[in-house]
Amino acid sequence: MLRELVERAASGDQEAFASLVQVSSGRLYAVAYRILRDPYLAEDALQQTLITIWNELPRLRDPDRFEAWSYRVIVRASTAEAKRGKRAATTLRLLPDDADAAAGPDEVGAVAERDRIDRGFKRLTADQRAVLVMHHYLGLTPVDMAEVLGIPVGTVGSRLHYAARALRSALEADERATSTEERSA
Amino acid sequence: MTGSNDLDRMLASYLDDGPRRSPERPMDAAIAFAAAHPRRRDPLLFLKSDVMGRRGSLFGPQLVWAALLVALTLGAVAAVAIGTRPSQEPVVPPSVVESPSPSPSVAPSPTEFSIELFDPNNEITWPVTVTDASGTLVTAEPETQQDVPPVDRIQATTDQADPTRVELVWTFCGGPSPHHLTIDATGQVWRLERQQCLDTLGGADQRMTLVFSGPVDASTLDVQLVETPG
Repeated sequence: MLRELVERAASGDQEAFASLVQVSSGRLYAVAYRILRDPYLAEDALQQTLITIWNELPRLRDPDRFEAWSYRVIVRASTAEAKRGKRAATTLRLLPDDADAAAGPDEVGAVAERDRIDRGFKRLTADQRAVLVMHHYLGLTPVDMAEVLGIPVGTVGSRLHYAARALRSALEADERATSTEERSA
Repeated sequence: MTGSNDLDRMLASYLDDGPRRSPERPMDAAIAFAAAHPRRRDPLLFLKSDVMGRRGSLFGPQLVWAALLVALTLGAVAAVAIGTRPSQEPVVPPSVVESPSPSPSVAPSPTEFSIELFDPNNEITWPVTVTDASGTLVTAEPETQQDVPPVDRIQATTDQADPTRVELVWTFCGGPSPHHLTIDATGQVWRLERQQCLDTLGGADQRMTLVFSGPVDASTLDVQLVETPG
């Protein structure tokens, strides 16, 4: 089904391309959003990706590799978008007014943990975020990631290692800052 | 301290939380882009590499075809040299033939467009010819004047909604002199020539839109406005 759509879109069938956009955009946007953590930048990255797909699809020799290729394009568009830094991203997480009252200690703790990892994740470079998203969100193995990124498996391994280390350092720095604030309060 | 397993669990949970559906805007924009840019059959597609090919592959299609082209060229040169050799006369070396380029020459011949710009203030029209040596220009369209801040001589801006469209704006010159825009083979150097400004008429900046086969980042272009003596 997907293969047929890819082949038809590659030969210039616009209806097939529209169907391909419908079936692929959700997963591509999800990846872009998770790398960029900004819905507007993610939209721009997705649009650029879909246009690249239309322009370059005839150069994809094996239609069965469409999914991997589309991940490659969205990751590149997302990292480029992050580096361009077109907009100052400010994401507000709104909780209901009675969130603290209604939430039990476990839920409050979960929100605090999520916020902490959010701050740490945003301190990483776009390239580091990209490998973490591919591994922990898409569930790709280093071999699959090497194919998507077009780099050797060993390089993927080292990128993953350094990204995780950078995240751990960011979380520890955050913990230290929180402890200092609590002591001084 | 955060353990490795804790970190993996926290990260997986954090990344799992988020949208999985795309907004409509980028999808609609891409479908509209495809409708506006129907794909033409590319006769040189076989020369282009696979987008999922390994970087630095020794036997990529370009290299194979380049080698084939070199072999054919050498074969043709040899055939001509043997075919034109006089049978009884002393052997003379064949004339020097320039070595074929290691990569196939696929430089497109320049494309030329001609459009007319209209100045409603002064009710005059004049031609603008566009010569594109890069082979990426699809069309050129005249634009109506707009009441916007004037540009400093000339300015190119990529359309944010459609990065294949670049708007070119340049200062008005007092007279209906022909303009000639040249885009070099790299697509990076744009040179707009016109006669030296006489300032006999006032008017708003002139503008046109250039549509390319792929996205163009106007901020990287070298755009020049050159005035020749009248």
